Amino acid sequence: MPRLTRTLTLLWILAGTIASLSYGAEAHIAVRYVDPPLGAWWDANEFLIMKCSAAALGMLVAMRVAARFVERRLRAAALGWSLVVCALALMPVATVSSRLARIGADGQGGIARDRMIAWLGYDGGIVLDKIFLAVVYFLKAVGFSLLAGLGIFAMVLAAINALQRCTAIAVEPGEH
Amino acid sequence: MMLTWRMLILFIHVTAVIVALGGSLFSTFALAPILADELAAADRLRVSRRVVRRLGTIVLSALGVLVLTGLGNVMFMGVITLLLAIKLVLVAAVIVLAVYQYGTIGTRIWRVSAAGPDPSLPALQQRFRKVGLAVGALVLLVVYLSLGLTRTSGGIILAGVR
Repeated sequence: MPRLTRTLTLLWILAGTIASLSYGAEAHIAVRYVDPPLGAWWDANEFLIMKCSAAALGMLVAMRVAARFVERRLRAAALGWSLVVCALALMPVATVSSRLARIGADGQGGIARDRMIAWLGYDGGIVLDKIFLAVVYFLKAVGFSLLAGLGIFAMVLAAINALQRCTAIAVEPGEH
Repeated sequence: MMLTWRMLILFIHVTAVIVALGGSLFSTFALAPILADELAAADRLRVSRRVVRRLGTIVLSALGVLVLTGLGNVMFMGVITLLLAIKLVLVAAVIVLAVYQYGTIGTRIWRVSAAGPDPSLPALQQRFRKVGLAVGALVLLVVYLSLGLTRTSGGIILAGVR
């Protein structure tokens, strides 16, 4: 199970990085030159891939961190069931975390853009600023999804706890 | 209007805090001392191991609900302040600590005490209590920060409730 979660984490990091950079740099235009239908599909779906990657990555990191604090015997069950619940909750969590990640943009963003333009010139600075915004947005969505993942993990652990207690009590009738 | 999604989520959020914090406080400061006074060692162990298990289910569920409704609250608030960011980090720490308390120490207590009193139990129970107190203190800090958030964004909240 830890190997699976590690592999999934790496895959979502890769998908998220590609989608964020592409969304920021508007790379779908380049794809359209090579393969117009693929470019159109990528343009329509890159944001969805970006927000789903952020949600999945956040929840996976949360699960992996929290699982380290669970006793070894329980760990596999807790990770496995959390993975199932998080997979089911992926779309709602992605929707909520992407909406939350939009909050908080303020005047400070202009300072970063001005510095980038001063550093790279107008054209390069604007592109870099868009990539910067996409990456910050992605990281914020990961952070909110991480919290959701921790909540889901806690609830799954509670359910496992309750089920094991019922099993144990059924096995030990003297405990009633 | 009193019955809005925002009010409902806030109600569930506050209820979850009460359940999580109240359960832990009751167990630590009311139930445990009374059990120590009133029951013999073997009976006390039998009761307390079941309390640990059941409380784990309740507290962890409440914390899960707390986080998910908390994210809903942030969405309704529409602002992320430094105070809120600190609060969210603390909430993450609370959950990790609670997972350690019930997922590791509580499970060990349950397993070790299955066959009756064991020499390793007092140390485990002591650690369980310490981690529980740390979780309670952090939750209280989170509640305090929440008061700060409510006070600083009171206008927004009132506008939402109306």
